[in-house]
Amino acid sequence: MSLKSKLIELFSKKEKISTGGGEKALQKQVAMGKLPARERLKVLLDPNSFHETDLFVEHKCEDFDMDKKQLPADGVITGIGSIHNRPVSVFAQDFTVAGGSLGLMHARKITKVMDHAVRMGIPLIGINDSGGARIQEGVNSLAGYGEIFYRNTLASGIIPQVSVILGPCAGGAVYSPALTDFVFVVDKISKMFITGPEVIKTVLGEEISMEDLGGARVQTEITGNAHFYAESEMECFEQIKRLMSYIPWSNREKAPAITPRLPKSQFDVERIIPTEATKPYDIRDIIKSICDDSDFLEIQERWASNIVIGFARMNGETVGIVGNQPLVLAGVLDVDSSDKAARFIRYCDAFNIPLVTLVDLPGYLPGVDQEHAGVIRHGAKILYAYSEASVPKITVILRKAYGGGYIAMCSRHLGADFVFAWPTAEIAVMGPEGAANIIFRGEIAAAKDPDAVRKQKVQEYTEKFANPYVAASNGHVDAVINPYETRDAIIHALRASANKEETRPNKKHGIPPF
Amino acid sequence: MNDNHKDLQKLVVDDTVYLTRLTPKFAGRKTFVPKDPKRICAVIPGVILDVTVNKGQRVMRDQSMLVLEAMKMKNSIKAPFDGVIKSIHVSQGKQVAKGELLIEFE
Repeated sequence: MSLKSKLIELFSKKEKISTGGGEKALQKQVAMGKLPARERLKVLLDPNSFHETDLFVEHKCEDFDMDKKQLPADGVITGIGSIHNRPVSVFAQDFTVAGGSLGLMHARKITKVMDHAVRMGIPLIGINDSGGARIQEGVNSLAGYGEIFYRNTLASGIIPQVSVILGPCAGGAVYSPALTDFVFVVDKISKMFITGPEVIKTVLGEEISMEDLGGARVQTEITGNAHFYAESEMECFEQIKRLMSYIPWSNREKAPAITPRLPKSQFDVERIIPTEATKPYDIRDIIKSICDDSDFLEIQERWASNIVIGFARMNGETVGIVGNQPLVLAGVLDVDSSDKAARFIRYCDAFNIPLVTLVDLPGYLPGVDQEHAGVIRHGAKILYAYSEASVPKITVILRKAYGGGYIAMCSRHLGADFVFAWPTAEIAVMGPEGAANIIFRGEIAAAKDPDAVRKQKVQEYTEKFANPYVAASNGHVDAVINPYETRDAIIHALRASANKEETRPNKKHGIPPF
Repeated sequence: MNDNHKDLQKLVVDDTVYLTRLTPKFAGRKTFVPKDPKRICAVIPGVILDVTVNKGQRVMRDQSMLVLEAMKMKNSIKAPFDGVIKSIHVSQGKQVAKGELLIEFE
């Protein structure tokens, strides 16, 4: 055989496998409003950057007549491509091939690119579109899942892991995304659940649609399982590329810096923040008033929105921002917001991203439901995460910082490197009303006019303690700054912390209050 | 930037009233009701396979009152104390949700 004919053979083999599950299945995929798997990789990756691996892999199953069935590429496309001109490891499940079902070889293709990603120190991006385990392969398909979960866990904190849910993702399949750092979902396309509507109906008699059970909205608004919501697949891929621009490729490096830009002028601190402690404002406007180009990538925007987390740049360098949101639930910490912030803090710490914390909260959310939902255990996560983080930690107290909330929001006592406060800050054990009602309880009760006395005592307390100077006089706050100088103060602090080194006692690992 | 935030409501923390938005989860939270030992409720969703007591009947502690099948397990629901059954809210074959009232004691 001549080289030419050998090449023809190669091309025709490749061509045949690349068509996936065939024309009919492809049409069905498109009819569901979904892009074909290969198209998805094309849109996600830099043009012509994709190099496929394991195209010729075949399943080894012989039961249930499977030996007569050919599954092109075993239902998953794997390889290396690039985003922003930097290499990434990718896999995309192909729903047109046996519903994207996961068999052992399918899983082994995935674990191969995972191993590659960890060894090379490059991110892993997985596109999930699969009906679940390939039942014919029995326990071998479960083995496949297990091997993926194991690697997700070992890779955690070494390379960024991104999961894109572009189809059903049910049963064991949802646990790989749950173990990764960022989960992207698309309206009407993404579905995630452990047990589907049919099982729920037979076992429990409850009727629910896939969308209401585990659609994109549910996962971004109710459960917090997903981090980014998009209306379309195209928007989703743009979001991924934007996220990738902020983060380092592995824990061995720093996030790529870009040319610094000033914030946009329409975000004026004086217009945003009310001096009265009980009035709301949008903390995201403050974030935009201090970060480069007023460009803030919010994460988990729709869930636990009483805390705001996300990436921004200060003087060209990526920072992770955590801010209480007075606009929602007065910015209190509760079960979900503690959980949300704690995980983000650990992400930033693992990937050398400095933390900027903006504080304005009245404390923890009171209520039976919170206590019974374990706010002690969940609230402790944020204490743990901040204390454990050894990246530069810069805290700015804007207004209220009361009680346990003050301590939790990266106070000096949890290891903040720089703590700034605005003159509007009120750093105290609790709000003036609550404090006066306790301290002067006797006097108020004994008074002829309790309300007048209460008012007077609240006033006294406010004047004496509702300010940043008591904390500053104790050295808990390093400087009381002009709000207009916030950006400069943070940039200066970041520059000073560039070579920060903090060693911790050697241990296998801590035991965070998961 | 938006100075006029609509849908603001009041939230009290440490006697201070804050104006803020409420999350659907917070707005939809259930008020706490202390558990009434006289009301026997389903701890798990399932199907009633059998009811072995009648209204007005005197039962002894640990006496089986009904069988609730859930997750392929047949759970015998027993009387928590000696008492008289005031009412039975389920019958054989009924599908019950978690927390649904099954039997009330006098």
